[in-house]
Amino acid sequence: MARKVYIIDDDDISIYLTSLVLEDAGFADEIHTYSSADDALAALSFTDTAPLPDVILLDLNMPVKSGWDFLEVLRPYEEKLKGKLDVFILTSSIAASDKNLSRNYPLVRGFLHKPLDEESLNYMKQTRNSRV
Amino acid sequence: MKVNFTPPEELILTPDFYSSIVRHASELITVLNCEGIYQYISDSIATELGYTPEDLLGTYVFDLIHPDDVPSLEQELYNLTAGDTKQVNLPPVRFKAKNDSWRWLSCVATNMLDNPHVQGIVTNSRDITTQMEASRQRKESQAYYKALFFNNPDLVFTMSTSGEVQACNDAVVKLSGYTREEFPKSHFAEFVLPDNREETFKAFSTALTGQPCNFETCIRHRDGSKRYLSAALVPVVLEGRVLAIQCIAKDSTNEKEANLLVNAQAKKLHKILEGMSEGFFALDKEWRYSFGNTVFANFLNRDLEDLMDLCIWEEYPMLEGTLFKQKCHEVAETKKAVQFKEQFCELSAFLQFTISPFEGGILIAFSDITAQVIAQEELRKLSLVASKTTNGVIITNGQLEIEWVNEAFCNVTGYSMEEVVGKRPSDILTSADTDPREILWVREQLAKGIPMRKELRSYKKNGNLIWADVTISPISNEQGQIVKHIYIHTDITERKLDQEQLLKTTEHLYHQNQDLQQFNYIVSHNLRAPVANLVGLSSVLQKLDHNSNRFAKGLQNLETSARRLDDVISDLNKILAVRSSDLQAAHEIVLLSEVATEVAQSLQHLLTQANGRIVLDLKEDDLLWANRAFVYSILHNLISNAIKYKSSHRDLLIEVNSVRKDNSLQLRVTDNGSGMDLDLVRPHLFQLYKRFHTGPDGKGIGLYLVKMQMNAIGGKIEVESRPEAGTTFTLQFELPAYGPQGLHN
Repeated sequence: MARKVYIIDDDDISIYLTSLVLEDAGFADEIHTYSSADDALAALSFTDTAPLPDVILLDLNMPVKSGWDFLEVLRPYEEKLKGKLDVFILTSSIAASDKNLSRNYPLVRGFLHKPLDEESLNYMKQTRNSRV
Repeated sequence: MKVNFTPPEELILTPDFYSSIVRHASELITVLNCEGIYQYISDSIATELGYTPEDLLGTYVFDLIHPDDVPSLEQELYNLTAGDTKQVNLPPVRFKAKNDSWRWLSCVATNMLDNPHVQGIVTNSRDITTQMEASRQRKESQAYYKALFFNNPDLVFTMSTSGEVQACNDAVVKLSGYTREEFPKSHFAEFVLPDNREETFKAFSTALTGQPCNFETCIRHRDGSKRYLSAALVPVVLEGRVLAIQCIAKDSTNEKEANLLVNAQAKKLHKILEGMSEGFFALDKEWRYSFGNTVFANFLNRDLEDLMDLCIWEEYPMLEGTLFKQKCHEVAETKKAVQFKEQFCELSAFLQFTISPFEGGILIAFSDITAQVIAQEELRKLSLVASKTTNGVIITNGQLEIEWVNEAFCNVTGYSMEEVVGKRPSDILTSADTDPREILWVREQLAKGIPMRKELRSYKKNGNLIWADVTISPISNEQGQIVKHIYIHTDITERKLDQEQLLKTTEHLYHQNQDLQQFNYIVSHNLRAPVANLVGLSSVLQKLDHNSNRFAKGLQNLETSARRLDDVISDLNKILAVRSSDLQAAHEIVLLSEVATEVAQSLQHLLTQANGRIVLDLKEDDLLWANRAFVYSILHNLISNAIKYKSSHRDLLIEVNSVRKDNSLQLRVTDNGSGMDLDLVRPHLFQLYKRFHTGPDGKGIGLYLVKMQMNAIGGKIEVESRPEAGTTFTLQFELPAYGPQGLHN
């Protein structure tokens, strides 16, 4: 299970739905939702002491800063965040090209299709457990 | 030697003693009386002249004297008898000896007529014939020498052993250009030209060793001109010592100059023959080589020296039966020059000959025309190709005037050769419609002298357009000047039409493909997003209590998702509508101000809500040839965007105005809204479902539609924007949609 989860998505219904599923499954202690990448970045603190989320569910197709742009901002902190923060992409896209592109980001631990379902939840859990 | 003569004491000086001395002395002593008759003759007359004293006693002395000497002797004797002088040395006289030969006598006569013991003239004579003879001979050889030296027509001069010129004859004086008085006493080297000095000194040194020698030299005339000498140096040797050097020289200037001239002419002739590009050789009457130039030797790859005097027919039996041999004989017989060509397979050469007679035999000039013959054959084939090829061929001169065209050109264009010769290709192949830039481009290429190839519009004689692939190659002469151009004019009209068709198809396919990609994107992102929500919500709703708030909220979201799905489908419909519209057919005259006013009215409620206003600055005759619905949609999208993205810091102001520029119309929609950072958004600005604001409004389809609709009208759209300064969209409607005279289609 996760202590703190961020959901970053510009689609309000998607946020509602994803939160509902996570809550229902008791996946996290805290769920924070952001409707843009910039809002999420503002909340993230990269100092050693500040508490980080364990999991980020990231949408790709967003105005101004896309999910990819968000991952690029995290690039310089990759080494520091690895093992502490797992990013799962949660997108409505079913284009294979996006999945391939996600392999370039080591922080990305999974590529999930909306809507978030049991299968995806199990995958997230397994992925997180396998590290321990 | 001194002799101490002491007479013996017992010697007694008696008359007999004297008489004995006189009679037997070697000197001839005679006594003449005053008439000249011999009174006494000493005995020595016998040894001197062959007489006995008795033979001559009483003889008159002048009877025995050579008649030539008589007058002077008579005078002398007269002087002796009449004058005061008692003794004279008589000049030598010739005296007739007993054997009738003349003997020279030297006499001293002493007048002793007064002496009572003698009473006569005493003569003491010596026979000096030998001396006289020697003297005469000396004089004679001197005369010879003088004659040889001074009167010699050749140059004769004497030099001391140190080389000083001591004496010279008139010929020397004359040849060197001086007079006898002016002739310098100097060293011979001063006359010799510097180039000849070394050789001259060498000869002089040889002469100094006692060896005569001959050499050629050249001296300077007083006026500076040259005189060539052929000289002999002869040492004058006396008692084994060289006293002087004599030089005898002949003026060989004329000879030398003639020689030089002959040599120069021979050299010139040789040069001419060697300079000939033709091979050249001569055969004597026995068919032997007597001359050949280098070209000839190189052709046969033989040494000229080896060939000389060899008989051509023996040396080259392969010539048997050739036209060459036949012609050689013909010229030798008829003495008439001939010209002909012959191919020699053995030499793999084609030769052209000129054979002419001369008094020593025949002269043969030949040139290797193999390359020329091959080139001619090549040319014949090429001209066959050029005239029979299906491509049009034009050959122009350096002034670009047509010299020749082939059949194919005539067939394609409908012109005959006579009609086009002397004209420029650009005059007959272009029409008033031809783009002048195209003609200019071709001229520029030609001026550069490089080959060019271009597809050009070309016109037939009847005015019909054909597409031609034109290749123009400049042909330069050896000096690099362009003397001809060759045009290959290929009719590619069919190909070009096919190409145009292909381009259209490609363009169509490109758009189809783009649409496909667009649909793929819409399906994978925008269509699927609401679908995914619908799926997720339906599954969640099943688990929720139907009476709970969460269920109600979920149900509401389900409806919203369904609406969004409907919106996307409706967007797709709009896009398909623009895509599938027949681009030209839907056009009509659109009055811009009217459409803009309609749009402004339809959005008035939103404007009022946003506390904004719109200013329309359009002219009554701002007309467009376009699809009216598109123009409406474009303006609606741009103005509603301006309202959506107003700045929160100031009241919204939207200005719509038009500018006419170079036969085109520019429509500008300017706002003072929140603006965009174009560096970031420009690549995505007009793409489908790209949004640049995080607010709730906007689906990312508006600007995509604007762009598509502008494309359909045939206009361009540009944007300028700065964050928090505002945005200006410039719509440019280009010709031919709008013209200065109004609209036309």
